[in-house]
Amino acid sequence: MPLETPYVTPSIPTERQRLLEARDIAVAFSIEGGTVEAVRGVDFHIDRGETLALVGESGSGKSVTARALMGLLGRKARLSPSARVTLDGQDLRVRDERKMRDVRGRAIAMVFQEPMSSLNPLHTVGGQIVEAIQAHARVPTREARTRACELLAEVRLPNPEALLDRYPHELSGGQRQRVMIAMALSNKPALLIADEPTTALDVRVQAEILELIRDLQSRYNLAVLLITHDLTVVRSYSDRIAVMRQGLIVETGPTTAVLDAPTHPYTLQLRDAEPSGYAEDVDVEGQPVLLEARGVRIVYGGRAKSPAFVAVEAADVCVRRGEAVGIVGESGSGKTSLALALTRLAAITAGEVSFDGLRIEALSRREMRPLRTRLQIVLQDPFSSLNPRLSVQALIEEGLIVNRIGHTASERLEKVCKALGDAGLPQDILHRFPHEFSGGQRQRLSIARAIAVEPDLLVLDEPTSALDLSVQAKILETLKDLQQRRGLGYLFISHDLRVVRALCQRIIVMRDGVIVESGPTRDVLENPQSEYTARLVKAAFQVRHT
Amino acid sequence: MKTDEKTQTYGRLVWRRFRRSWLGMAGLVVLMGLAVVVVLGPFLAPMNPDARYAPYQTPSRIGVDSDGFYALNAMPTGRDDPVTLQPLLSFTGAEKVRLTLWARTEPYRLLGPITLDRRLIGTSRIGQRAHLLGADRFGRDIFSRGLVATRVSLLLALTVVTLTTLTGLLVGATAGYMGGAVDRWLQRLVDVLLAFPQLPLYLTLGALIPVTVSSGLFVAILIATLSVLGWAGLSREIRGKTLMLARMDYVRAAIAMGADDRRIILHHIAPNLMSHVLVSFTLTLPTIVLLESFLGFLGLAVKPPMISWGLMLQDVSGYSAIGSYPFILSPVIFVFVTVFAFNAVGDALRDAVDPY
Repeated sequence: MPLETPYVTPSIPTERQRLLEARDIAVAFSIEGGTVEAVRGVDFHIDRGETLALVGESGSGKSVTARALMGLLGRKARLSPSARVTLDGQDLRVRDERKMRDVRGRAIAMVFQEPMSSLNPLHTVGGQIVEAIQAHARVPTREARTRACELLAEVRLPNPEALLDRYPHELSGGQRQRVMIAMALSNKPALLIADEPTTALDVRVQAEILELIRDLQSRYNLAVLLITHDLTVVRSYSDRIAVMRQGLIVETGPTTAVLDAPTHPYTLQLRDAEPSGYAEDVDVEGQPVLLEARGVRIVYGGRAKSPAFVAVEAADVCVRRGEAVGIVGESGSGKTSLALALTRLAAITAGEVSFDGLRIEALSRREMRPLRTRLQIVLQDPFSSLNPRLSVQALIEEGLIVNRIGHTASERLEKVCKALGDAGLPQDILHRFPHEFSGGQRQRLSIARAIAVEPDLLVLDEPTSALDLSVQAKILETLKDLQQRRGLGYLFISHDLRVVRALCQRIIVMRDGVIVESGPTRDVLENPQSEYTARLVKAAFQVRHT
Repeated sequence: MKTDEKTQTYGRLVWRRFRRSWLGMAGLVVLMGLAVVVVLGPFLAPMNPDARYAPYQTPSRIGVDSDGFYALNAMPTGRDDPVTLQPLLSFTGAEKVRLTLWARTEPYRLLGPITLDRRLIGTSRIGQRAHLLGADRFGRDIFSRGLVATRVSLLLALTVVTLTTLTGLLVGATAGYMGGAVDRWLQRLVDVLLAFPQLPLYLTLGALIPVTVSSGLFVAILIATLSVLGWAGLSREIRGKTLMLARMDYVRAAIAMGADDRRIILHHIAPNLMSHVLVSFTLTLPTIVLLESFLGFLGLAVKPPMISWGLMLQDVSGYSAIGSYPFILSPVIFVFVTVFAFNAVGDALRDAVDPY
């Protein structure tokens, strides 16, 4: 394992002083019928004022390592007896709950991934920060409130005075994450552990939060342990990187050095799994238009006492045969509503939709049935989109049965196997059930189910956003391959511009239910016409130049 | 095509998790025992449940000597308790009543047309008595009656729970899947039923039904009443679950696949409701058993010649009787064991089913 060489980080040109040192961290969880070794002997250190990025795919042990530092492992976990954590040269007794309670929040603070659930909905923002302050210091409430107000200003929340009396549900996700950071900073910790702090947020907000953390870091000489799976974030915001795989650190060193010239094959693989480059051009001019939508408007509610909510307004979409069209936008921009409406799984309030020249916006569920084989959809969540009671064979065969494709069972079986093969799955899984598969495999099952009926157009709603990068890369490969071999057209919905860039020939940018820009991918990304697109592009591809 | 050996169906997984709960397994064993009692009740009972001996006999003392098991029945000593003025009893000098396996007895009906003249355990001579749990106010053996009553009590509960579960499932799934006006009206009906004051109704029914009504008709009325009032709660749970399931992505995917309503209900919603229904079934059954015994205590029990635990507990409502003869409370043991077994199985089943 290459040891890190001393070097000067661009952001904090101060003294290098060892803050935290972790030796031989190994954690095993006891599960039914044995134990699982989540972390298998990890050594690392963090200096004052630096950011160490802990990178790895889901299940690699990043979060468990961080929780071990905080003594937050829970009852089912067992920390190895030889594990040592020192903070400022002093032994942190991570097994001593009473001692750790004092360390937590005071010396080491943590920011979690999900800002929606880490704030208590029953208490005001101010109350929760005051509580965090008073947990570690005898401070009069009035003083603590003043301090809370300063902290909110510190994390650049507007109008902190008024914010103190607000409740978490009144804030946006980004604002909540700022409140979490303010709480974490309330006792001037030396180390901030940020566990995927921006994964649940939109790209634009993500950049703002990370900027904020970096800013606070230089002001307080704060050390940050940043846990993430996103290499773009790592590249822009960390000084050193530790790559974890299956409970071990496989490579560590200065971020730029490691990412530019990885020595471990896994780091290389991780780096190359990042979607990059543009999709190949496909000549679609002569191809017939498959799906065309004009002026689609989707309104929810509006009956009884609930006010109407316009999810999509005046949307025009056009997909030709063999073409991949991406729809990008932040959460709440109406992407999914549009996808569901175009596949007639949700109601269309106004506008025209035609599929292969046939108007479908007014068709009933029954009238849509003949078209279903040609227009398929893969839904976002691979865990809820497969019926847990059906075997793989039953799942994929269903479309064939309801659409009376294949006359005999063996004919259908042949088609099922072909679909499995096309989706990159082995064929000996026919009698297994969905819970036996990982997220990536389940998403492949969804894709196999959709392509088994041999559609002309496949609508994909964030098919890879719940998956690891390497899995995402493989699924994108599969999709490209199907596009070339079968001439399949895609309507690909994603919040990730890099994925869309790698797969789609044309791109549609949505914001607040309105299409702000559309055109060939290269044109839109390199020469955005609207300020919104420009900001999205900047946030997605931003790399800190050192 | 290869089949993977390791593949586990949902049922097998549930069974594997169920086996881990020893309480659930113990409950299951007791339930199997109860099933045997339901079928063979009169054969297992040591005495004729309807034969009358002296009233309020205390439980016999069971002993063993060189000739095998025997029972001692307490004899009055001729003296009275100075405080309660009850005759004092003593086992000294009591005649040993021999107990044998495969004892001969007067012919009785076991089940339908099957008649037997043997009991598993009984007194060696016809006409002798041995009361394991004592005798009731007509001098009938409580233990034998309790075993025979298992039939009526459990079958009544089973019928009621089957009816309420089916109704609840049907109404709940319809309301949840159809939505709209159908749902609204069904929910109002459920509201009315849930708001209904049940206890006064039971008491009124007990007073209203003429004493001359045959026991069969009476049981039918009892079952009908309990069923009509019982399905509302389950239907509401099922409705909620159906609403949730109908919004699952896999239902959406089935619609996108072109599946019709029938297929969606039968293949995608119903199988996912079944685990919930099964758990609810095992957990509702004991409440009906309890309710039956409770209603019996209040006077709304099945009519003789049927025997149920509720009917047996009717005797307990006289306070002076409990004070003097506490053993007449012993039918509670049967209720307790049954309820406990069903609850243990239900809880273990819920834990086994839930992880998804």
